[in-house]
Amino acid sequence: MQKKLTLGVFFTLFLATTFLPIVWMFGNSVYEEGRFSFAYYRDVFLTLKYGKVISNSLILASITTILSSLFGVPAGFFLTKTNLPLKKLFKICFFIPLIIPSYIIGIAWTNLLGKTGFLNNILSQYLWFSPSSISDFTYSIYGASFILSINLFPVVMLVTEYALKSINPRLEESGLVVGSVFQVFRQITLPLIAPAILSGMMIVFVLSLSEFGVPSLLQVNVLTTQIFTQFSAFYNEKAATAIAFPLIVITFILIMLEKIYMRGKSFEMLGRTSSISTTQYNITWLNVVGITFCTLVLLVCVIIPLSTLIFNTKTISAYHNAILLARNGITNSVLFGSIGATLLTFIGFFLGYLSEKIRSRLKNSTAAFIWIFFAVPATVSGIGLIKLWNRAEGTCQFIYSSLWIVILGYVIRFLPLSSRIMANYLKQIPNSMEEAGTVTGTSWFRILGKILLPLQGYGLIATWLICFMFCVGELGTTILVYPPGHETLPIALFTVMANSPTDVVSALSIIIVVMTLLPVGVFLAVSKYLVFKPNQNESVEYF
Amino acid sequence: MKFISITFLALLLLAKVCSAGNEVVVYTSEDKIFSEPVLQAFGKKTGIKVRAIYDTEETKSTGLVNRLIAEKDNPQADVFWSGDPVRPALLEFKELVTPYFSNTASDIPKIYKDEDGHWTGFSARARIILYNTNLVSMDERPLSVFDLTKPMWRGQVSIANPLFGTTSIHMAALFIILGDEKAKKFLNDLKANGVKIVSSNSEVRRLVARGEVKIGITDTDDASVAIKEGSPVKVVFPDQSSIGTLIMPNMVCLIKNSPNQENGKKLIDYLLSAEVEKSLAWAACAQMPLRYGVRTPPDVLTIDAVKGMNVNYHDVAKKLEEIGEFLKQWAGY
Repeated sequence: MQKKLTLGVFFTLFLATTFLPIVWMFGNSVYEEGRFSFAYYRDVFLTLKYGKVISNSLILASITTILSSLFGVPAGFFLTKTNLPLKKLFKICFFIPLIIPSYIIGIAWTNLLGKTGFLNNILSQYLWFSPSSISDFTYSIYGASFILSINLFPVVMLVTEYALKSINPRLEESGLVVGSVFQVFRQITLPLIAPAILSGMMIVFVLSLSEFGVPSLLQVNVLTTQIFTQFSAFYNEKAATAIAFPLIVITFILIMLEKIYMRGKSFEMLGRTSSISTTQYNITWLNVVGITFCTLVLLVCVIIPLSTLIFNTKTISAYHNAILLARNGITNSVLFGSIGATLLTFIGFFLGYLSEKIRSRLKNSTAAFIWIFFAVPATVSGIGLIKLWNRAEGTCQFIYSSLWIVILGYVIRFLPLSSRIMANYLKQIPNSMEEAGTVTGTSWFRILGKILLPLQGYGLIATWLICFMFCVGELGTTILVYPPGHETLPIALFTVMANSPTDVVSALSIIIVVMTLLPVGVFLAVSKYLVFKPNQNESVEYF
Repeated sequence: MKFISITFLALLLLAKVCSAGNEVVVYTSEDKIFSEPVLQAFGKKTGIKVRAIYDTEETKSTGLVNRLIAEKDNPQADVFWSGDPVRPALLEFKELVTPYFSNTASDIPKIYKDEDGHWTGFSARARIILYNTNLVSMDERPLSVFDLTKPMWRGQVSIANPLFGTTSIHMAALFIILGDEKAKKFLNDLKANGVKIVSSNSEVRRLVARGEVKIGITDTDDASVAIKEGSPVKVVFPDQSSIGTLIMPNMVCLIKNSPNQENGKKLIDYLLSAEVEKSLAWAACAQMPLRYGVRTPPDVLTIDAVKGMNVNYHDVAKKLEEIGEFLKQWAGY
């Protein structure tokens, strides 16, 4: 009863915060002049008008996902499974691309690869490319995918890393007795973390489907730029919402594909013991490959974009001016981001439980139902929030005029994400553990507090970190709903970007990186003490 | 459970609900760097608390106009200060603004004011040709936007996406002046000549300043910032011996049924004053005052020194709705 009631409350919370505003928008888009009309949807689905755009979106998302995985999976592996020097530094640095707004990374790379760019000069001098062909490549769907994958690979990396930490080391140790490291990785480790990686890839795919900044900068014609055009050039929110529908359909198809892949596979045997006992390979050649790979990724994804920013901020006064501009944004971002991430992790845990642990035929549908909302573009969510919370009678003014509307914006955007990540981690805890608690007749809250939550230590931290970074970087919805005086850092950055000196804009970008990394660093440091660590005598075997 | 409720209550206390008082809420699409000092000066002068929401560049987020439309049933903003002359007309079509004739605007030329009082213009920008002085000599520089279809500029011209911002307004004005046929031919010739369509006017500025293209069509404020940054660029006011260039004043309007109408009117009066025109002329955006008597720095032209296109902003807004589909196809969207 306790369990059902709690889960019911959290599902209702999801319906109220995320489902309602979005469904409001879609409902509105099929209602024109007092009657139902599917005119906009006919345009999208029954004519060839959007065929090219949809295929462009799919190509962009696919290439981005593949490239992100090529960067992210090995990075996650090397940072968890080997004894690389400067491992912690790498780890923190690899968060940076996720924090810098993709638009800024885009500008940095177009500066480098543009016709007069530094890298373009080098490449065209020593390779057979012409300067304009390199520039054309940058301003193409492939260039956009490359830049986006730099931005999003940390998601795959983080998911891989925490999945690797959750593996029961004895499985790998047993494998190592009879096989080589490579065999163990291919036949034991990789299959065990495959669902987590797949989940990470799915997140990246959907994120790049709904990404607007980079395609817009590079003038790549995708669904999101079409949606933007309908909103901002034609002020036609109904058409815009209809064009957003394919994003949801694509996401739904993906979920179905994932379900087919996962069918009949069980991952519950994974049961985590503790981080101390994660199997680490101390092999010289693996370390060398690891350090080379991580350095290369660091160079391409972090040092190059960051150094362009640092190079642009020629003077200390640029930082001074940037801080003056961002003063309010810094405190707001850290405060809103922390509240948002905490709420998202908290609600996400229960929704994750609902979509992974309940014994019901509805389990799969619940997970899919929650996840499809992740594909909804920020603007659609933002307008939906205004319509729902800015009531003519002023009844919801205490929400619409306060920080809560910004937090609701974070929730609507990222609740599907946080619940998916949590579901993914919960998947690894065997049901038997909870059942063991139930047998003793203890209340469900106690089982939660003493068994499930402590075992989810890493999952909770990973979810909080990812949510915090996404919240702090959110622009599309926040800019539509933030009350005066509640601007966040990305808003400070994007509102001063127009016509501010380049050095101040670059300095502000660097401040965003530092301000986001600081709480992340503190959290990482503190989290060591928060995670449940059974000692060797207490560790339990799950298989 | 106790812990949860305490945390929740504590968080609720953080909600600083914005209460009504002696204040005015303004939404502005004029760049924050230029509009903020003006709004602060008004606050200081009158003691009225100004609460502002600023916009990003048009192509970077779905910003304020969509917000104003969505908030129609319970408007939060009292005043909309638009950086361009067409969005207010659009809000007027959507019945979001209420007429207000400001006394301080009496000396602003009539063509910059709506006769029904829905919007009033002040300090203007203009569309210009920006060229890179390292790549284009003084003699070569194009003096008309129509020169840009010539083979010598093939692949060397950049323009912002014509569906958005001031570029869209420029296009609509050209359609009015030239007629649909001629305007379409001009745009198609421009495309055949390999014009590079980029995301925004500031992106045009960046490409010209870096020498990625030789020439760009952009706004005076973008050019002014590039020049102040020391980029090798110069400005041409195009078509001065023929149709003129497009002059784009800021515009201000009062939002219908807004919570602080009286303070909104006071802010509008202030924004339309000669004092604000002067400060915007001396700021980095180098905007041209619409009044003849306002003193400007030597590098800022006065409105009478530039030949402007003879267009009515109402008509431009209407035309823009008409040609949207053509521009969408032209831009490859």
